[in-house]
Formats: sequence, C-alpha cells, structure tokens
Amino acid sequence: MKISLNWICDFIELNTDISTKELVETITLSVCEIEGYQETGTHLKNIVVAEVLDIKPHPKAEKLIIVEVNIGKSKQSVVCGAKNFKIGDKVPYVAPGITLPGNIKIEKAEVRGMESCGMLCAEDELYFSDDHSGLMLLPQDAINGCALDLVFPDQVDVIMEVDNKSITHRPDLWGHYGFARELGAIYRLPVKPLVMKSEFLKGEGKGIIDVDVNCKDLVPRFCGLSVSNVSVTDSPSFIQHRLTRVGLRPINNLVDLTNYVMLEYGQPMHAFDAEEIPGNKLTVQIAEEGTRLMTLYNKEVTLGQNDMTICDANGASVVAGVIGGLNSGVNEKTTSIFLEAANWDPVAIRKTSTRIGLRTDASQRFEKALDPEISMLAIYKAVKILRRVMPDIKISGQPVDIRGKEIKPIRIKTSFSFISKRLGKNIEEDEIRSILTHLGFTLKEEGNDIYLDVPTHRRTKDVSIPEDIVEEIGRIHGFNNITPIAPLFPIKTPAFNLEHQFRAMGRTVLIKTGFHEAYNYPLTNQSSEDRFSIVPKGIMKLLNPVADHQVQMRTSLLPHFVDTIKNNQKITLDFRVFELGRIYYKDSESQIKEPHKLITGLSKTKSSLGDAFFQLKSYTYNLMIRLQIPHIEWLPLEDKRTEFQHKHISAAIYSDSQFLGTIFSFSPEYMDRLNIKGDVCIAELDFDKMFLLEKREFTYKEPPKYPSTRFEISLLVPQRTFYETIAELIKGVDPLVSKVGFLDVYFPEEHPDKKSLSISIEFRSREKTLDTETVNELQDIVVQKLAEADYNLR
Amino acid sequence: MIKQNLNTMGQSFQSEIEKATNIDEIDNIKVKYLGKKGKLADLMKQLKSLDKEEKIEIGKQANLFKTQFQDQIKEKSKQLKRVKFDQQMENEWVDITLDPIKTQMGSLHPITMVQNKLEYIFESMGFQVLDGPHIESEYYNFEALNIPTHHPARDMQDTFYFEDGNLLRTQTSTIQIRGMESLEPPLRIIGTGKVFRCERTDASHDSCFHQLEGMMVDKNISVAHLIHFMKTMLSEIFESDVKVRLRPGYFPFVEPGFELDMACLLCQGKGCSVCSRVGWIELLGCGMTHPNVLKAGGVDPSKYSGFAFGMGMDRLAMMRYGITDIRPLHGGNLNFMRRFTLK
Ligand SMILES: [Zn+2]
Repeated sequence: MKISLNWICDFIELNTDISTKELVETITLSVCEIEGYQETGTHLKNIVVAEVLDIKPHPKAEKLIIVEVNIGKSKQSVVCGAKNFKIGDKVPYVAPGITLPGNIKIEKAEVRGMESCGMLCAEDELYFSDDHSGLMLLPQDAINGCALDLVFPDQVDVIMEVDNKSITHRPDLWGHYGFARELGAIYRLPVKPLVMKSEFLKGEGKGIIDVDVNCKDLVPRFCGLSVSNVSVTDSPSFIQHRLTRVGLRPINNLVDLTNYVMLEYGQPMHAFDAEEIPGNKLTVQIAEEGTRLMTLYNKEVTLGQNDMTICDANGASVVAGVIGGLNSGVNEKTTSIFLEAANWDPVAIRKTSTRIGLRTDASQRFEKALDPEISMLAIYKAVKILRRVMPDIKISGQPVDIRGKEIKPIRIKTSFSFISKRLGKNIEEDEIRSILTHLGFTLKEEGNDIYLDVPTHRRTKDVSIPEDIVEEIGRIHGFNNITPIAPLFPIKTPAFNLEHQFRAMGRTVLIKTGFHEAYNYPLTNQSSEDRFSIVPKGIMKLLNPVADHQVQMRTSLLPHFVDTIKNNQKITLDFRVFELGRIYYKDSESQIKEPHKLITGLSKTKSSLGDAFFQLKSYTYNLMIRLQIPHIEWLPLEDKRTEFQHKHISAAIYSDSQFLGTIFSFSPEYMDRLNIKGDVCIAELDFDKMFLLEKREFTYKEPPKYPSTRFEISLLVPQRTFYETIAELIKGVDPLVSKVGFLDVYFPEEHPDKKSLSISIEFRSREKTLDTETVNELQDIVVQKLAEADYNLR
Repeated sequence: MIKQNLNTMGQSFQSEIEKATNIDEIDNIKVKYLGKKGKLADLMKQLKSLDKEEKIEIGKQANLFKTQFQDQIKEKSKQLKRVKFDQQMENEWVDITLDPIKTQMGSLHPITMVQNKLEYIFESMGFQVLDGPHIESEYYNFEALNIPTHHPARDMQDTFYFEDGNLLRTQTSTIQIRGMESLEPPLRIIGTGKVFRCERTDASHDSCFHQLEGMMVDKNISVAHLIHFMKTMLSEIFESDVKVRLRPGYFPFVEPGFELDMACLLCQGKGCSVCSRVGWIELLGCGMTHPNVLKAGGVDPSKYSGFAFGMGMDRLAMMRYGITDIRPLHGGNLNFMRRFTLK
C-alpha cells in the first residue's frame, strides 16, 4: 500500500526539520515496515506556467504547430504536436537546459526548419497522470511564469510503500488517518480529531432506499445515505492527482470519492445508482447455494451459503465486502446515489474472498476487522467532499444506521511497574500516560495500577492484554532506546542431545572417507516410489499439493537418491554420496513414524566383479565401528531381497541379531531400467535403530603373554562357498584357534567351478607357549575337519 | 728381518687404506691384514722362531698395529658409507607435487554446517537442543502458538495438510510447546530442522526449507534481555561485533513481537548493493513469548516470562557461503556439493 505524506499532513502538522529519511526510519522502527519511498514533484520547480499567445501552422509539417507563449518575463516560441488548447489557455512550459524525470533533457532545437525553444508538456510527462492525449491545461488563474510546484503544492510529496504484511494486525493503519495518529504519538503532536455533525447528514422527506440486514451476527454495522441531484464527471484535479500518486487510477467523481475516503479512513465504500435498485430496497443476506453474480470485472462468481450478499428485488447485486456486481455501480447517467459504508465480519469476508479467488482493496481491509465506528464518519466525509464540488446535492431522508454484532469494550488492567519490568527499562509514568493518550486510550489510575479503555480502532483485533500495552509503550518509546542487559542464569551444562551427536558423528566419519552429503526433498509422488516397488502402506498423502512431483511423503530415501546418483553420473562415474534424513509413514496402529535413515552410494568405473560392493562394505564397516555398533554381520539377503537388488551382490547387515539394513548392487535388469552406468553399490541403514543399540565400549585387555603360532592353508572349494562358513568352521575346531584370516582367492583354470582360497590360522594359549607337538596336532585336526566338510587342501 | 717386515706391512696398509674408494675394498683390506690368514696373523706365526725379548717387543708392536688397523678400517668405512648413502639419496628423486593416491574428502551439506555451528554455539550457552516431528497436528503448529482458526497463517495456500487433518509443520516454533511440556522452567531450548510451505519454487523460495527456533523462559525476562541475547548470539554466528535493531513485527506467538535487522556487515549500515542500499539486513523474527503460548506449554505466565526467536538457516547458509539460488540445496548435485570440500 502506498501512502502520501501530504495526505497524512492533512491531519497533523509535522515539524519541518524532520528529514524524509528520518521520518521513514521512524515509521519503520515504531509502526510498520516501509519498503521504500519516493520524493515526488521535485521537478516541478523547473516548470513554469505559460499563457498561449498565438498558434500558427508549421510551414513544413502539417501535424505540427508553432505556439507562442508568455512565460512572465519573456515570450517563447515552441513547436508542438498537440492541439487540445486555444489562445489564452495556460500550459506547462519547460525551458531549454532543464532535465525532466526519466532523464529527458530539454534543448533548444530546430524542428523541421523552425526554431523551438523549450517544450510544452502533457500530464504524463510531469507525472500527474498517464494522460498523453494533449497538453496539460493549467488553472486559468495561474500566474504566467509561476513555477508549477507553487501551483500544485500537493504534488511535492513523499510517497511511502508500506509492506502490507506488516500491518495485518493493524486495522487502523489501512488509511492515512491511522498514520497521522501514530506520528502524533511519536512526536507528541496534536492530530485533528474525527468529529461529525450529524445534522449535516439529515435530509428532507423519506430516504429513497430501504435497507434490511438479515444476518446481523455477521454485520457489526451497516451505514448508508441517499443523495440525489448528483452528476457524474471527472473528479477535481486535486483528488485525481492524489489518487494517481498512491497508485489508484481516477475513474469518475463518484468512484473516486469512495476510493478517496477508503484511503483516508481505511473504510471501503460503495456507491449504488439509487435509481437502478429494483424495489428500492437493499437486503443483506446469506447467499443461496449456487447464486451466480457477474462482478464489476466482468467475471462471474458462484456463491454459497457462507457468503454474504447485498440484494435488490432482482437478487444478489453485490458480494458483500468483496466486490460489486456489474450493474450495481454508477454510470454516466446516474443522478442519485446510495452511499454504503458497512462493517462486515472479517472471517466471513476472508472465507468468501478465498473461495471466489478475489482479493480486493475492500476485502483486504475488511478481513483485518475494521472499526465499525468509522463507517458513518466515512459517509460524512464523502458527503463533505461531494458538497464542496457539487453544492446542489440533496440528501434524502435520514441516514441508514443498522447495528448488528456488538464489538465489546475492552478494559485492560496493568501497571506502570509491569510495563517497565517487561521492557527491562524504567519508563517515566508521564511518558506512558502521554503515549497512551495520543494513541487514543483512556486511562484511569489507582496507585500503581492502570485501567485502560482500548479505543474502538484498536479493539477489534490486536489490543487486549497487558503485554499489548507493553508493545505500545515500547515501540513509541523506541525499542532501540532500551539498553541491553545480560540475562542472569545459573551455570549448568545442558542435557546434550545424544541423537544429534550420534548423527553428527556419522556424517563426520562419512565425509572423511570421501562421501558428499546430499539433501533430497521429503516430498515425492507415487510413480517415483513405484520404481522400487516400495510397499504402499501408510503413505502420508497431501491434501493440497502444489506440484505433481510433491504430493506425498517419501517412505524411502532410495528413489530420490537413485536420481542423485544417475544425475551425477553425467558429471563423473567416480563419486560417493550419502543422505541422512527422515522417511515418513503411518504404522499398523495408525501412528505416524518419522525414522532417520542413512543411505550411502558409491559409483565407480567398472573393474572387477563386486568392486563397488567391497569398497562400500569397507566404508560402511568403518562407519559402524566408529559408531561403536557391536558384532556386525553381513549375511545373504535371501527372503529380505527385493526385485531391484542383485541376487548375489547384496547382503543384510546385522548387529547381533538386529537387522539394520542392506547393502546391494542393482540387478542387471534394474541397472538397465534405471539407466545406471559403471559399478554402483548402495547401503541403507536404520540410523535410529543403530542409535538405540547398546554400544560397544572400549575396554583394555592385556596383550597376550605367550606367542602365537601361525600357519597358512590353501583350499580348493566350490566357487560359491562363503569364506565366512569356512572361517566359522575352523574357529569351532578348538578354543586354541585364536584367529582366522582371509589371505587370497583365485580361480584356477584347471578347475572351472572351484576357487582356491588361502587362509591364515593362528593358535594361541593364554597359559603357555604351545609346543610343536600340540601345534602339529591342532593343524591335523583342522585339516581333517575341513576334509570332513569336503573342503580339501590344494 | 721380521721387524722390518712389520714396518713394511704398516706402510703398505697405510697406502692401501688411503687409496680405498668403496666399502668392498675396505672389506678386502680387512681380510688381507686382519683376517685369520691375513698378514698380521702370518707374522704372528713367525714369532715362534724369535727369542723371548724380541718376541715381546715385536708382539707389542704387532698388537699396536692391530688396534690401529681396526680403528682406521672402522673410520674409513664409516666415511665411505656416508659417501655411498649421500650418493644414493642424491639419486632418489620424486615429484612431490603429484598426488597419485588421490585423497578424497567428502563434504557436509551447507545447511548441516550452519546447523552444526548453531547447535554448538547454543549448547555452549547452555541451551538444550530439541527435536520435533515434521508431521504435526494443528494444535502444535497453530493452536498452541496462539494462531486461532481463522488466522491468515492457516490459509490453505501456506500450509500442506494431510488427509487425516495433520499437517507439515510450517515453522520450528512447534518446538517451543514441546519443550515447555517436557521441561520445567527456567529453560533454554533450541530446535532446528526442516519446515514446509506450499509455495511455488523460485531462486529464494522453496517448499521445504530450514529453520532454527530458540526460547528462553525464566522469571522476569525482559525486552532488554532479549536484545542483549540476540546481539551476543549474532556476534557469535557472524564472528564479529554486530549491530542490531528491533522494529515492530507481528507474530501471533509473541507480544511484543519484533523483526530484527542486523547492520550490513559489508557496509556497516551505510548501504551497499548487498543490503539493497538499506544498510540493514532483515534477519529474524523474535519477541516476548505470548502468555497464551506459555499457558499452552504449561508455564504460569504470572510467574514466568520468556522470549523466543526464529530464523531461516537457508538464508544464513546462503549469506555465509555466497549461494545465490536456494534450489540446488536439494538434489545432491556433485558440482554443488564439491564446493563445500576444503581443498
Ligand atoms: Zn550493505
């Protein structure tokens, strides 16, 4: 919303020492956010009034004329293209050497052989309006040579852009008057009060239009007045210029009038053509389901049982508080009007405006909960302006004033000491009194206690508790005038969040081994999840998604992560990534779960079979050891395997008997289907489960006193024999077997279905050095047991 | 005769050892003179034929030679070894500018880095780090935070709702209520994490972003405390003494509520292109906790007061690392992630 400083100054006389920058900062720091400001009209001091003395045709150009003007001190001759003026008219003149806004430099020039000294301007060139149809015609009484900033002092203004979001809770700031009141409190200056002479609105006879309000609980107030003997023309230039400056387009005197009053008080109004109201009666009522109405914007809306309408004998003609119907307003032929200024229930207006998808200047104000007390004041102001322009207007009958839902008075009990204590600064009692009085509060004091009556313009929404008063005093006093004070707190270490620390540790270990951390969106869609036949159970679906690819919560990190891998393979084949994040689902008891999962991925150029798998296994092992996970085991997936996982290059990861996750390469079919290249392995771990495991603790054991004896064997075994099976067998032979280790594997050509596995075995006793005899015996038993299981020495 | 031989031997040893240029030669000399069948041993054998006095004299002389030879051999071989090793080292040259093993360092996500840092700062100031669910009830996200049913913030265009009436939290402020419910005042808590808004995505807006929420509740907490705390906290975060200003801001869960601006670190408030010539950067929202919120958390507002603050971590990360577009924060593109590896 744009506000004009001159307009504000209609109600308050500000000290001229205050610079614009200072004023804007003051409003920002004490009232609401000013996003920017513009000083207008400064160029007008270089433009003067010129009287047209003579108009001659241009000898060489049919479309041009030569105008001779009197600019007070001298006469000038200017070549001009416009034709909307005559001898004796006054027009704006710019002398050569002057630069107009938009960096237009005026110079002495020859236009098709004729000298032109300076320029005569249209309204748009001087920022009065966007009219470029002809020269701007100045008032006849303007003195030749007088600078335009003196002819139009209101044009020299400061236009401030208010951030609408910063005044959502302030119904009183949706018009200029509210800002005047705020500045009055800040600078402790008087502000012209809003008073009304009610006789002024009393007319003769009976009112032309009757009004009925059927839904009074949604209409705090409905005011209206019938005015006849009006005519539709352009507004006075003063009003047109003001509206233009704050970004509104002038339409005609009656529409401009309602807009002008709205911008001044914040109260939206509507001017009906009183002769175009069938039945001469307006009824405010809830719309019937399916009511259709063609709006001013030529857009049809369908209303329902929660929408209020203003109806005439032919049905709904206005969507109450939002927009008028196409035929409800005034037109060129209008001679009598019904001015309406109502106060509507903010929630109802909000709902209607959301439902029909129309946010208007009116609805935007009504949904802030306006003060019903300004409704009649608005009508009064409108009639005052109207009468100044058209002294012959007639008011018919009495003003309509129907009150519905009552806005209850609010009295707040607080105290001087509470205000100071909450602000952390001692504020003088006099200052508190003065601020509150300027803001419109009425004070009653009893000792230290204060009883405050909240003014009507602050009562509808934001002021109801002592803390609100703290804010009023704080912002007007200036929050930045409060000296910071360190809070006093006992020294105490906080309870550390061990889960956060556990996850942080996991991340640190991973990045040290070359993994990059990725974030993917927790929102996804079913087709993305379907690629991995993820069980569609307990999916959390959004009611109001905004994009097709974000309609539900992910139930696995895998789908997006695969895309991450795929996309990055366009950059390189060699990389490692991970994501540590939540998945979301409803469990069988309808409880929402958000467990943390870790997914790691390793991509590399293809070399030997299982290369990526072994590398990722090693990193995963490293991670789990660092996280103190006990007894890690890697077992075939078997029935835990899903279609996309490779039948053989995959494993389930266990700690003791707890299943923690899987590590796998994709099946050849999925590699092809997902279009993944090179050698890729992925591991998924349940991070929350890992956190809950009882961790391995570091305990020191004395190094063994007696030496071990080591021997190596090579076995020729079927290719698909797990090393771990053989190692377990050897370990079980005798308690003296202290260590079994993998040395090497190779595939001898002469035995195509076998592999040669080299294993090292260590014997050690904790009591003595083993003698050769015992060692030989142990060796024999090992070999024998292996042979019994059909694992023969090579 | 023998005596003369002995002297000759001494001379020839001297000349040979002086001429020796490598360790092998020294070994040969050692064998030749000091070996079992060496010259000195030979000479000793001849001693038998001499009379007693001569035997003693020559024997003494021979022993003297033996020690002298040994010492000289030791010294010479030490000297030659040094030459040899020096030569070897001279020949051993590698290109130390190569990195053939390629140490790979990964990277933390910029949001993780900012979050870690913030959590560290707050923990060291005695704050407890809390967690909360992303899928929340209307109660925790709105009602308990003094956002009544028809407040604009509840509009369908802002909040993602689920079919069961739950929603995706739109703010980490939910942590205030959960914190007060589970802890007794005085309390100091923060919560970090993802929040969601149904907004169309552009360079500075995303449907999923990250916030930090903090709260302090005790007896007699005032605006003066809030300002002091904000200044201290931001000075820690930005590692320099920052200037802040408060202006009125409306958040239903605080009263009074503020927008906090920080003086632009680049121009110190004078105005530059980074701060759009305003000199101030809008950084966070904060305020004194609304009594209704304290009540909802089970804290008696007549005994306690508190303040709360919330800020966007995405913006902080973008400011800190010079990221100009919010969108690459999601998706895990290597070209983006690799920027966060220190090389
Ligand atoms: Zn700056």
